[in-house]
Amino acid sequence: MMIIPLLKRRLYLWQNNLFPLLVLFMVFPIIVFSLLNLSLRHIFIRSLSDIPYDQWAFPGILFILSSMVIFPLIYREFYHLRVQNKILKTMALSPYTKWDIVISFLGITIFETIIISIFASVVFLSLVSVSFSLGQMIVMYLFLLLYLSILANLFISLSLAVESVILFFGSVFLSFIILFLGSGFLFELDFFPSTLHTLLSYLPFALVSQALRQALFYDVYNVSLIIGVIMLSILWSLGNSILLRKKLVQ
Amino acid sequence: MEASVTLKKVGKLVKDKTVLAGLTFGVEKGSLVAIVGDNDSGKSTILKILAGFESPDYGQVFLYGLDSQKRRIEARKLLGFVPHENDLDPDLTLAQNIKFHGHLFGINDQTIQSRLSTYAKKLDLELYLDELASQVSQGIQKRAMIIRGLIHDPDILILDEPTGFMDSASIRKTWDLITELKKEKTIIYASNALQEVEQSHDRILVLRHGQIILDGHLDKLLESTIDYHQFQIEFEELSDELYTELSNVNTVVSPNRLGNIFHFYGRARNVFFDVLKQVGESEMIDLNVKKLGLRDLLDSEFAGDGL
Repeated sequence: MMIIPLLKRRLYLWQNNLFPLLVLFMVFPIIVFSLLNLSLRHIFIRSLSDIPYDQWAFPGILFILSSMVIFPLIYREFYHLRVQNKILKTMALSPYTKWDIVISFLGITIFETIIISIFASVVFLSLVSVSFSLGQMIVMYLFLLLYLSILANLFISLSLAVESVILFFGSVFLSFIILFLGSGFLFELDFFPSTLHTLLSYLPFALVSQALRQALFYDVYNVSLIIGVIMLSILWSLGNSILLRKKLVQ
Repeated sequence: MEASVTLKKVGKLVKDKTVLAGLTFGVEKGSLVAIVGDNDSGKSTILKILAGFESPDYGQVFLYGLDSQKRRIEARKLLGFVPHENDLDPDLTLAQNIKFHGHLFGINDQTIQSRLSTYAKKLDLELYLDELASQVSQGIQKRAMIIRGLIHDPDILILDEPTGFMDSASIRKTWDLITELKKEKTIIYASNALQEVEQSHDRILVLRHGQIILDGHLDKLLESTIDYHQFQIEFEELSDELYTELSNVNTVVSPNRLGNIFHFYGRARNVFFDVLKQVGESEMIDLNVKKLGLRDLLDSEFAGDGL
């Protein structure tokens, strides 16, 4: 697998921009938390299922932050370096299959995002009075892993399929709006009219969000959903490897 | 000798345009092959197909007997590719770019470091290894790309414009290295620097409209043209009538003019006297006779007619 070389490369990139990246990742969770949680807690106070808003929203805010962290990582590798510098094409000349390449990039970006998210969780937890047990935190990160595996695939598909910068960023912004407002991260989908609620609740991201809260707050684990998301992620990665081969004409 | 690279009816289409038209040829192990041709003749495309950078639309490429499409992973280990355009990661240093490439091919750190030091010394790149790729000149980037192409010690090295953007000292060092490597590797390159090609090749392939129109060592290619001479006569004034009259001399080949200079080819030296007979009273200022070289072979009219 390409994972070790890619990991070393990520370490090089961190090493070359250590100070600005550390500052960014220190400030980033504080800003996300301040702008989302500190305002919305006065509107929602408690969730519809009567859970304190800070507690209920914590995983959602963590997911939002992770979404914003993973996007530039995927964008750099699959869009910028493919379209601008053609680096991806040269990288693909190494002795790996396109499936290896997609899976390795997925693994590395998800790993890096989760590391940053753990750091962000510590910052969040020091700013708000919510408490999660270690077990709940582990569950949260396992669901985050599932969520990121489909989100990263979505971003890879967009990065590979779209050439125009305007179309690409337009699609990404649209995805972020759906993610932030229509996936039940910041407020429950029950606030939407029933038709829209039904529609949104079938989005994979909303399914993961709902399943996570069921697991965290009611100790109910939707195994079939978890397996479904894993299958979706694997199939999507396969699709992305085919798309990569077509795009690179290799 | 053993063939290290074999192409069988390899073709490439871009939309409806034929970029490569069913090329078939083999390259012997340990040889230095130059591919030359006009812009858009298919030079870069052929290199990209050889390197696996792009797939052909039809035909097969064999590297040491391995079908490069069917046994892609094994074939790729045999190849080092240096594209024309800079494709280094701008956020990594030159050394990091090269090391990353070595890691991709599973080379251990010690070997990478040793090869990096050796090649960096030969290409005079040591001072720049810790510079970010985005902050060095294109010539330096190109030298780093050559080292990157060599870091996994491939048997076949493919270079597109190997000395592109380089200064004269770097060009000399690069050719020294390529010539040294030739003993153990098959090297195929495309270049528009014809003087460099004339000095560094075992074989030249001349491409035109995606087809090989000439193939062989320069001396051999020139054998068919050895009787040809290139003449240049500068007149005090070359009138249109005189130009037409001289152009119509039966033994004059491919005439053209540049101001008052009449330029033509002739199969024998005495063609000059045929022209002189037509000159009459017109005053001549200068005369130049030149042996034909690669540049002349690439002259589209000559190459098209196969000389």
